[in-house]
Amino acid sequence: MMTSLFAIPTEWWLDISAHQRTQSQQQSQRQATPGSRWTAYLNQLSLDVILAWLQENYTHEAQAWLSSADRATIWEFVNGAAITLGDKRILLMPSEVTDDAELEVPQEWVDLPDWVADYYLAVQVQLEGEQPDEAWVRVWGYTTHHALKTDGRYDASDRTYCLDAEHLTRDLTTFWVTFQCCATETTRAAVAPLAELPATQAESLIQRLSAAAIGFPRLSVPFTLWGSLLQQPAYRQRLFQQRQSALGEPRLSQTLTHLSQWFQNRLESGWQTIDALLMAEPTLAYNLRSTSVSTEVRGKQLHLEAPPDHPTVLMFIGLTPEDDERVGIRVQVHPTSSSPFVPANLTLALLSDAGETLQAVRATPEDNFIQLRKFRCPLGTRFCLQIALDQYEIIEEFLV
Amino acid sequence: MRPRQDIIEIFSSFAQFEADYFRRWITDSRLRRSMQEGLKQSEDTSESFWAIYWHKRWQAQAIPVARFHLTAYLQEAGYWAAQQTQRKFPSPQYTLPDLFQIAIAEVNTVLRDYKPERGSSLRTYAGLAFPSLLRDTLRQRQETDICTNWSLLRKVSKKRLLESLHQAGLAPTSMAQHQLAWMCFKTLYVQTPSSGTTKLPDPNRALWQAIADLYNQERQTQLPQPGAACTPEQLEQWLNHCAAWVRAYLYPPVASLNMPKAGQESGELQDDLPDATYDSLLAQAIAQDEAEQRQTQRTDLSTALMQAIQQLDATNRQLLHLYYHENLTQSDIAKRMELTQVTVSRRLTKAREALLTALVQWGQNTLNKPPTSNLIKDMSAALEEWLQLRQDWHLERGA
Repeated sequence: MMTSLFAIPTEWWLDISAHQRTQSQQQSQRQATPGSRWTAYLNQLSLDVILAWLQENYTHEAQAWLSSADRATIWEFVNGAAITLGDKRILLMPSEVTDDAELEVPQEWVDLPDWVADYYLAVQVQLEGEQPDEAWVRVWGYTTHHALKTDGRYDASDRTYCLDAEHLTRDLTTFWVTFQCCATETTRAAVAPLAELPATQAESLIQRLSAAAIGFPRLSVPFTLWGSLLQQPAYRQRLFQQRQSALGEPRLSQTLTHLSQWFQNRLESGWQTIDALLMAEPTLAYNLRSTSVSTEVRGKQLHLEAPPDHPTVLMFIGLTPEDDERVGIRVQVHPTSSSPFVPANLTLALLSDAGETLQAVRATPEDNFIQLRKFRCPLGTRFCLQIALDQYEIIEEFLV
Repeated sequence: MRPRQDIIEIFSSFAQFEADYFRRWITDSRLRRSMQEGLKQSEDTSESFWAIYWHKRWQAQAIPVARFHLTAYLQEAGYWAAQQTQRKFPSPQYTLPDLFQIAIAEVNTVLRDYKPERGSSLRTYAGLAFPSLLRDTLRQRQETDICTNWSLLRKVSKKRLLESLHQAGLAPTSMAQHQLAWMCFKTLYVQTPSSGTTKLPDPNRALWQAIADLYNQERQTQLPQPGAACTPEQLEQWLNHCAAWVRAYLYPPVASLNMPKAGQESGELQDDLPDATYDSLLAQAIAQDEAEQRQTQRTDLSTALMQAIQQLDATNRQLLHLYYHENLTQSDIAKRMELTQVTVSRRLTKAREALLTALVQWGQNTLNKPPTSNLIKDMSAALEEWLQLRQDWHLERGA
């Protein structure tokens, strides 16, 4: 889908490098839910791409606001990435929306005095190209804080300020020229300070909001309370950690991997061929001895949240078609090239559809890889593989 | 297509197509009468006068007749925009009449965004605005034509979703429920960052259950009226409907686009011009004079731009020429100049910025106008017009 076909000089159409994608992907693993992981991914990508663009073409003074760790605590709860440029702040609002109808800015970025920006950029992130290098970031409009407060509409249902596209400046050529020439023009409207939260109240709020049962923490208490909590880095950090603990259950695997499709060369989300993985990890030595050429081997990266290292491991599955419509399966777990050994005490287990452990193996220190005994099952069988370290685990579901 | 000459015809007739080609002009008799009445009160038969007049009427009162007159006026602009777009973005899906209809359906947007104080005529402005709107529509339609309902729901803005629900006739309570369901859907139906560019599979049973659980839990606190709990099947149905309503609202099949056809949908036409309008007609004439005065300013602006563009390096001038004169896409330019599209994109943007900066300088020096953000926007619009309409700036002096 060559939609970069429609690029015009009055918008910024910026490409995304494979390196930026990998970096952002890794950073996003810190988040607690699939939703916040995706938010962090889009935000980190937009931040990296637009920062690089500003630094290469305008000024090296452009820097990301806040440290990487701090940003993660924000992205767990709300969209938006800030860049500082001298004494001004630019806020990026990344989204996958394609219809250019409005700019939506969460209230946090408009009504928290410490978070307010001068300029707000409407950013579309496009990732679904047919080729990996067809991903791009498109900046299609901007506005000021003042305009957002004056011409924007506050939507209480999701606590956002919404500005119709007709009020946005659609010509990005004017952005830098305006930034330089009109430095004294008002960009910010007045914002009332929020009361500081006493520590005990903050702690009780944190306990309440970090419960797994709270779907949208930012919408669950009045904004004055939420804002006061969020604007304190220490409280925010604690809320983030509590949320991570509460939601550290085995991640619901959204996809069920259909193993027999591998024989038809279909590649599913997250699974890569040996060649692709070897290219990314040249020091990897794998040892899935195949007894026939019809064996299909695929690998997948798995990220464990276990502190302090948050290790990544590679899980390989080898499939061999056997007689009477059964499939032979071998499973191995290898470290990535950052270490020659699998994390000590890592366990790999085979679970039946009913959750019963059928096989399990534990890594000793200095194991180059661990593997299950080869097993066979008929087509249509469901099973799970569980990879665990301390109390952090990942469960992958399979259908043969 | 035969361009029209008679002032009455220009403001009262519409293009009719047969197969994929322009066939003839069809006059709406009520619009013709309206123009005839108007001409009795003012003998000015210039196109620019009447364009200004009807635009001011439309701005002041938004009466249908003003919009119809202007839609008639802008038929040629729409046609040429459709032709230009078809050449630049050929697509078997959209014929010339399709593109024409899509363009003309955007007349309201053109009228709303037109700024007479910037000095160019409505027709000139429309000549630039229609292709831009067409390009935007094609881009969006291309992204959504072949995507699944679930993908579509991730790409639609809240604003357009709510407009679609409203048009589908949902009551406010129901709209709030659907909006919450959509929010829950978008929170859980996400890609994993490591999945590369492979598309998201359709939501499975487990996911619909999770969405239902989230909705049922959140409705207690997020909705003014929580309503009944929903099963996963109900939620799936709700969201399927949302997607269908969005498609119907945003991307209707072209043939059904609402176009003020000759004789139909004329609404409330005013056959008589009230007396009060005579004074305002006079005011228009004065406005016209002012506009002509701005013309001289524009000649100076043009000289300044001509100088600035000669300061750019030859490659950038060539890129601008290919983009603005030969109307190539950036990827075609990249192929022709043996550059990457990324480079072409960056150079075009930077070249435009350099020209704008030069223009702002000129404004400061000669007109003694300190740059304000609004002035910069106006100058950039003037720059865009100049780049598109002047055909001679790529020729090197004394080359």
